[in-house]
Amino acid sequence: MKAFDEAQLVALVAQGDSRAFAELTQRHLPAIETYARRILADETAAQDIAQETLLVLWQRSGDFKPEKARLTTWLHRVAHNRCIDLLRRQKRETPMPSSDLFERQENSVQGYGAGGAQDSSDFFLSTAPPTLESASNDRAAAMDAALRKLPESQRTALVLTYYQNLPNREVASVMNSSTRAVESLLCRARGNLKKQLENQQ
Amino acid sequence: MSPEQKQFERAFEVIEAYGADAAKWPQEERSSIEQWVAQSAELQAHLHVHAALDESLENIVVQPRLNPEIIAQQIAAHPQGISISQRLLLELERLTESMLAALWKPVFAASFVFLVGVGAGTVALEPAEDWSQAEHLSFALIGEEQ
Repeated sequence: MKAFDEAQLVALVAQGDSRAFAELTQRHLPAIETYARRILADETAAQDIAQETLLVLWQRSGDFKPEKARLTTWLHRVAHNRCIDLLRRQKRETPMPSSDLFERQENSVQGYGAGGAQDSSDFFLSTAPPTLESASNDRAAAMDAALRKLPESQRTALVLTYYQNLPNREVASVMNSSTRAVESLLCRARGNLKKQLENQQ
Repeated sequence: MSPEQKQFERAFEVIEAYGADAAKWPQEERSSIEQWVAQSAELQAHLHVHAALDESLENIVVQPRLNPEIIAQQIAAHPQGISISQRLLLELERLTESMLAALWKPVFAASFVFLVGVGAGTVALEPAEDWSQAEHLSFALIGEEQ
């Protein structure tokens, strides 16, 4: 199975080949799980989304068009859409406490810019318990907190580029955006991280 | 702005967006940016600042916990394909999305033209208050026909 390329494996999955599916799961599940965990900062929800994403591959592999995208991009897009849906549902269902509203205003004044003011999903991430293994050391904990405070779109662009190692065109495809827009998000994300880390020091 | 200045600014932007690791820069621009960095102390300083941020980002490690083998077995136990009703819903959703994406412009254009037409008609055509001439004319026409 390892000798097969991904398009061949997906074609086999479409015919119900569970060994081909196991091979694709081995290759892609870890990346999709870590992506969802970095976006949601909720281990259980992230694992659910990773499994749902692979279930989509099992049940709707015919929807994947290898001439249009790499499988990893397609899977990241499926996972990304589910993460966004979940964040939006949480946003609708959870009323925002006044103290956090104040904190958000502070953040926007301290240099979040327009993106920070638009996106309120950072509220859920800033209050979520830390799930990252390396958060034990102070520097990593500070960076982790700064990352979780980024607006969702900036964090997504950064995670896809930096941690998932997707090229800019594929990041744009996952986010249903343009490469220029992704670059702009990345600039803002890195600028915000720098400012937050400076403020913490 | 000269082409050299443009290229310098572009190199600056790329480092600001993608960080100091050249492997993450857009492939088609990588070699030219590397040349620019080699020639410019300002770009090297910029690269140094972003290398520090990259290092902080690298400190955050997330280890996957799911066992791919078990998950693959669990998922493969599900029936493949989706039910007709699910497929219909999915297709309906896609169709609605594409229609909404494709239709809003013509609908907007038609509404705009209609409103402009109504507006122009209201302003330009004042109703005739004296109908006697029109009546006279119509009677004359009817009379001629008869």
